Amino acid sequence: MELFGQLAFGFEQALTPQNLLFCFIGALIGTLVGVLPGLGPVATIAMLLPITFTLPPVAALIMLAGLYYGAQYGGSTTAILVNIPGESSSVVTCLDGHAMARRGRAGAALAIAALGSFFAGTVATFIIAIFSGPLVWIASTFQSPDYFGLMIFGLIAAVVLAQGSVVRSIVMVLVGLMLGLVGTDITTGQSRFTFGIPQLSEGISFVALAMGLFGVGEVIANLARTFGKPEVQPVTSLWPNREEARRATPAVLRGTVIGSLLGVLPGGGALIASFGAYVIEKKWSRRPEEFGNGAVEGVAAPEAANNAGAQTSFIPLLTLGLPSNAVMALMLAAMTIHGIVPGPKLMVERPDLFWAMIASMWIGNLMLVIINLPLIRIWVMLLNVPYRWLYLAILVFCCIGAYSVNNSTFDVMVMALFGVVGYLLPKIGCEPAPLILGVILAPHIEENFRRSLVVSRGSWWIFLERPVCAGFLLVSVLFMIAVLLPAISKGREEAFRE
Amino acid sequence: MSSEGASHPPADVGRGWLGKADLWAGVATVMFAASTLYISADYGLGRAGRIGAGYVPLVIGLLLLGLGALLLIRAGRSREPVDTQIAWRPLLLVIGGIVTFALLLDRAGLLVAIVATVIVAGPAAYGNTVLSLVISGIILSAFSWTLFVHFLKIAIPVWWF
Amino acid sequence: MSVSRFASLGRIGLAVVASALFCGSAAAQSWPSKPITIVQGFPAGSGIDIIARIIQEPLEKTLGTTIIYDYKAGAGGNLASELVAKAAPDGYTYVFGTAGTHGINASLYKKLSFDVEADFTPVAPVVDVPNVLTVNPKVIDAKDVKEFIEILKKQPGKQNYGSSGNGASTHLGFAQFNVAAGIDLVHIPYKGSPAAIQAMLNGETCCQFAQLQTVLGQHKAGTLRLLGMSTSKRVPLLPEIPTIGETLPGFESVTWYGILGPKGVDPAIVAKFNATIKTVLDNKEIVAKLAGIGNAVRYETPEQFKATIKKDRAQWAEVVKKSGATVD
Repeated sequence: MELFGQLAFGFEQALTPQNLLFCFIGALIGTLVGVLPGLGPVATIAMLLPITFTLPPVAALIMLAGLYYGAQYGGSTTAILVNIPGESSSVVTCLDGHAMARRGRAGAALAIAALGSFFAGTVATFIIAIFSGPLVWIASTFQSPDYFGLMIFGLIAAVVLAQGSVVRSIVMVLVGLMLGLVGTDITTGQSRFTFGIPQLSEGISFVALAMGLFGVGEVIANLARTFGKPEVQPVTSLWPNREEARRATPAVLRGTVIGSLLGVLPGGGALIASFGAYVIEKKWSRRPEEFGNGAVEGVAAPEAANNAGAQTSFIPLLTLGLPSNAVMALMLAAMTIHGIVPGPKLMVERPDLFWAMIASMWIGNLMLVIINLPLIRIWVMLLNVPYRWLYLAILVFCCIGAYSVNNSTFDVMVMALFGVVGYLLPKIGCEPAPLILGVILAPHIEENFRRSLVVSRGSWWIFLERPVCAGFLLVSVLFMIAVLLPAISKGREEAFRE
Repeated sequence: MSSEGASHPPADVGRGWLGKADLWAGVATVMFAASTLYISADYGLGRAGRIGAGYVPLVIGLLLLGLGALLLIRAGRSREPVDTQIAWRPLLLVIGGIVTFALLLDRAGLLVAIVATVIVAGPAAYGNTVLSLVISGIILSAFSWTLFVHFLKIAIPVWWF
Repeated sequence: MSVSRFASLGRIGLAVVASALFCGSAAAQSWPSKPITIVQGFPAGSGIDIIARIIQEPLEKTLGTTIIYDYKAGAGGNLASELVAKAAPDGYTYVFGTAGTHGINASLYKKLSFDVEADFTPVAPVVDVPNVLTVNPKVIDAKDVKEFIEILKKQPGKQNYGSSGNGASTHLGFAQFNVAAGIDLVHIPYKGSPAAIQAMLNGETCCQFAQLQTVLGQHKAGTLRLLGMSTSKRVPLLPEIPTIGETLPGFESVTWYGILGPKGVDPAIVAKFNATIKTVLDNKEIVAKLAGIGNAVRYETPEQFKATIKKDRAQWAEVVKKSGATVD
């Protein structure tokens, strides 16, 4: 029962009025900024980092953690309301969240996202408290081939994720992979597909690409369909009905498990978790045809996975001192500036900080629910603004958001280009979601693939020698067969019919 | 993702060969694959122990080329129609608005860029008049300045000087 | 054109004299009258950012204006350098340069649109960032640099060393060490130091040059072993760790962080900014903060800093040539 003593100690540290206030401020600012397209947690934390210098370290980190969750959740709000994924993790939420909003269930989608996230956050807090040791041990045994296996598995999942033709989804994934290779090759330092444009040296801005494909494409499609007349169905109720709640609950549970496990892995673990959770829901659902048209599970599971993953991505930072993503790098910087050296000894040297952080994760999640449930009413009201004005505001905010990531007007141009692509793709029966996953995974896949072969000095057996990698590849192959078989037999049926 | 094709299937497409979604997807794929293969031709394939920068682009490019060809072949017996109705007006105006923003931001500053963007993109929707657009442009400028520059202090040029 | 250029040269010359005599021209006297932008070539939260944030508040206090950090990550810091090289030399735009951006990159990238010496006005360095030879004791159980070299000499080409990126000082420092020690290891670049350290922890690589602050936590826990500092003198924070130079005489591979403006900044402004930085670096609290994460304060006059850049550029060019590292 040492654990409860430690957790109680953490809550003792975190539950001072001052810390509660900072947690609240962090979650509130995070939510409000996260709602703005393009301004995700990284930008928000970077902006507010200087303020935290003057605070005591525990308060500063609690506020930053609050910001992180807030911004993450705020991103989902925009995804649901106007189909703009402010950051990678809300791409999946767009698929069914926005579809629900179009059916007049925006309030329900937002509430499910908030409550699902809260539940996932609560579970993940305990997982961190109890299992951070073994989890980080598993994660730290992952070598390049294992990452490669995992990423391939993620890609195959992207194909399953798609709604329409399997061939075209594979094409979309591959196109995404190719786009993800743009920039400086980290192994050789060569520039690829940059056309001598220095702004492309770090790759295509993900925010600009995602906002273009989803947000701008959607705006054009909406205008084409309605010429700016209101189209979203009137909101019936702000709350999930009994049926929706019943369907969301098990999805949240599954999402939480997947998110907690994959979030520990560096480099987009939480993101793969949200895609993975969606795929599993779709595959196991008795109503797979509803996915993409506003299936409740399609919002609940990825949101839960996403939030649980966001939480457990703290584990490598807290137990090894190694940040697993850009937000964690900023948290590390904040700690370093306060003279705290994160590493395996952190738990022993600064138990106050360690346990207070964990306690504050749960408090931060609670704050989020408290802040967001009343806000739902306001967000949904925004949908009543006539579309001919709303879309102008969306466009302007997207432009500012795309610019603000790298302070670059080039990225605004990139968003315009992908806006065109996002509008045209559905016309030829292609979907942007698998493409986005390809973009995200490409650098990781290539990097780990090539690195594995350097480590093995050119032997391809390395992918089968490591059990984790071999396991992922085997499951990927099975998945692929499971997807292709019906497609092939269906294709035959059609051929026979003609 | 929304698709207009789903809500308004045009009656006259999907019959002829040119009206197949697979055909156009195939053409786009083959073109994309060919151009990436061409660009990445001299990136270097490396050797087994140190794979070069051109290896993965080559593999992906060839796979895409193959799948593109498959789509083209399949187009012969596919019945899925392509949505040939392109809404040029919203497409050009919305994209034009974003490009206007990108071009004006560094030269004229945020406030002018927003007003210009709104005026360019505004006529895409029914019922927006020039006057209403100028007014909403100014309101959006003021709002964006307050939010982004005043409160969030993001680094963005506000004026042309 | 030539007249105005002559005039401006004359003005600069006058300003030098004037600054020497009266301590500042008219423009410099009112400087700074608005916020100063310092561009960083790496993302928020990077090693440079941590240093930049530590000196931000005292700098602002001494200068009496705000400092805005603008992150323009890309091309190993070249994106930021290019931006500042082409900025107006009005005294309000600077770049946080490093031995990497203004030393290594000059020879690593063949197509730079600016010259790291001619297109910049060096203001002052801020810190020395020691690289430290770090090993995973479970892979190579060496107690010191000598033993490390002996073990590796017996297995040429077998072991891998990691780095935080192709062409980073952690890569070229080790390449330089390879040559100096006469050993042969395979280089594996990672995307950033956390990934590289993770790989060293799980044994994918045996060892690497790491910036001291990134491995302090692992050192304390004993999961990684620090064998030798790349600096010429031992680092005050960890006086028990010898330098590599104690085993391989003459070996030194240091990277500094410092502030540079575009070419043509009023020397009086440069002098004033440099003096401000000196005041901040003399502040005991700041020194302690920087030392606490393993960095040593490095103060130089603008002229000394200029000479440092020249020297480093030549030295890294040599390393780049010997190691055969390329980019582009």
